[in-house]
Amino acid sequence: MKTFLSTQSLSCLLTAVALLLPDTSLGQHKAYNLPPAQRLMEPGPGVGGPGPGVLMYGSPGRSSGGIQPAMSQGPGGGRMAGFVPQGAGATSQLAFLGVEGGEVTWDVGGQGLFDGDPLVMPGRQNFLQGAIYRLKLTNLPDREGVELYPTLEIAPVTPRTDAFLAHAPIPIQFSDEDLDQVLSGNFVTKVIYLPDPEFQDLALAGVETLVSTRLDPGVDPIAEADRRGSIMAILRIGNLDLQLPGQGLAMQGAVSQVQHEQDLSDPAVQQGMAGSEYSEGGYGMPGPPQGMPTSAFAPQAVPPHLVSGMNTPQWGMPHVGTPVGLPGPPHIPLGHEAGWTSHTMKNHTRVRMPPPVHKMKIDVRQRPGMNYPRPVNHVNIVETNRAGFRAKGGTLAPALPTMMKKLGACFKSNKDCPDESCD
Amino acid sequence: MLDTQRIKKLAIVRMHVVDKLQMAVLVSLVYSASVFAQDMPVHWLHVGAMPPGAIGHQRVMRDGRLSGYCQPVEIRVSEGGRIAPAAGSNFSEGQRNNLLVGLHIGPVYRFCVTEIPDHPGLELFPTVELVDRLYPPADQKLRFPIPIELTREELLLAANGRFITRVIYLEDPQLAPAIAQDGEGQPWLEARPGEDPLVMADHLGRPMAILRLGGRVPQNNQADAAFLYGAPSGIVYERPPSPQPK
Repeated sequence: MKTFLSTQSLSCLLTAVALLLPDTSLGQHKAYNLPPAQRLMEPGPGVGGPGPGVLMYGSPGRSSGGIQPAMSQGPGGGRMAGFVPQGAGATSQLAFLGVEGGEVTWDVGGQGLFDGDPLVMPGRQNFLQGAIYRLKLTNLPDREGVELYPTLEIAPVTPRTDAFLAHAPIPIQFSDEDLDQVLSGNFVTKVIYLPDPEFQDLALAGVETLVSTRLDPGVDPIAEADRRGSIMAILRIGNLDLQLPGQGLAMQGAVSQVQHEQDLSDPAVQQGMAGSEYSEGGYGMPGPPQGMPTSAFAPQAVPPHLVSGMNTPQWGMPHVGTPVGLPGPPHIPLGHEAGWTSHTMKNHTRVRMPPPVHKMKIDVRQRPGMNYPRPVNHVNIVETNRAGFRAKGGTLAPALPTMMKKLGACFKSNKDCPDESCD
Repeated sequence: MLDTQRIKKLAIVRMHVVDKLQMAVLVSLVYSASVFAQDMPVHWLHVGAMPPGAIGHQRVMRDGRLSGYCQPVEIRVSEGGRIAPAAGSNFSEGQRNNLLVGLHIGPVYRFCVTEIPDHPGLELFPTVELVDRLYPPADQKLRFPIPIELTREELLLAANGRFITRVIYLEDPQLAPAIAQDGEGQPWLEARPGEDPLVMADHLGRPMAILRLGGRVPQNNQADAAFLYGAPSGIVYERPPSPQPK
């Protein structure tokens, strides 16, 4: 009885193991098979063509990135002529907060001019991504005469930050603590980033800011923010004065701006200021901010989202994802609904994809093996400049034939002589 | 004779030990298999953090039934608010409280929400991306639009700098709670921190639309094609007549 129970439990155990372990452990051999390489390159049926209604690789419908030629001037454009990324993510909208009443200006006409239309905080402005901008911070309340020149680096868009940047502004906060640190001689770096889900306190996506003065000594705020999420902007503030009288602009190699003052009591000037759509009591040049690209000559980042007619097919194009590659019905309102109301496709392919390899060992043996003569290690050179003795041929006339020719010639000359004077 | 009985006793004890060991191995194998199944890393094809428009376009490419279909969507704003769809390079006048509009699967549609109660001058520009469609009875699709509700709390959160992603899904009938709805408020679930709302909606049913809401406004009050995602204008429907009770 005991033996029977033991055998029964053993059979149960083997059955359970056979069910749990993969097939290969039981020694079953299966032929490994994959589609041909050309078919593996195709993303799916009906794609890759050529054929009617098939999207070709590299067509606008397939591309979600890359450089797009400028069809229109993008917001905040003017930095790279000819190639301007399309989409709302090409620019980041910044909301300047913190110091109410303070003014922010930037370069528009040239470097170091700060001739942009002053933005009174709180306010918003679009900045082209992938560039660094020099700002000028003035009219700070309770800080008379203080002028700061922070730099603002706008990070390129990524698939992670694209949805946020297309819907929400990046808050740039100048707090009193930051200004106190700067005016006391410290250098403040603020990194604004979109935290990854594991670093978010709430399910609502909100940006967070890392300030160098609040971190432990030695902690890089940029590296820390990059670890926690996706960086969207970096603000660096110091108390360097770029507009010292007579030499401020010369530091940057820029030309001096002509000083002039307008009579604000002039009604014409007031009317011109009020008529400007950009001015909110400002006096600068309207236009997009001008910055230095952070990627040098590298291709500019393009928003990865899809824009109909720009990086996706124009809406209404008669293409559908039919597996047979035929053009589908035109879209409403160009036509009516599809007559093809039912389409069933079953995939009976047995798929068994192995796990990835963790350790790899490669043994190599070439047959036949390598066989090569030993390299030369001794050379014996004998050089002879005279001709050696040879019975026939050679560089000198042979002795025996020459003697025979001479005797023949002599005998012939004696025979042909008509008198005895030849003797 | 004594040795024989002793050997038999030892054999019985040995069989007991072997049986217990086998059972222990069996139990451990079953538990380890379930643990491995739980820790299996999953790579989702569609996640909520994907760029706007990517999911809808991929769905259209894979399912021909979605291409060209005009899905009615009813967008409700908190009482008194006005919502307007994009028309050309700007926004139309819009309607108050709710808007019944026909959208296609794939493009990203931008809307303008204004006249929010107690917040004059506040403007928000949410986007709606359809990723699936409903299959209503013929000629009755206007009776069954996809409802999207913009609550006052969400609008104010977005105005304060938050970015909200709301996934509207058709609940699985096997998982739907048998509770009568009053028809006014749209029931909602809040994703926990670190949880993907799209994945969560996929577990609970069939995701239909993605609403993204933030505080970004067009520069100089002029919406461009990039801000509007180049999407076609939505077809604004009149309110269908309420069905007469039989």
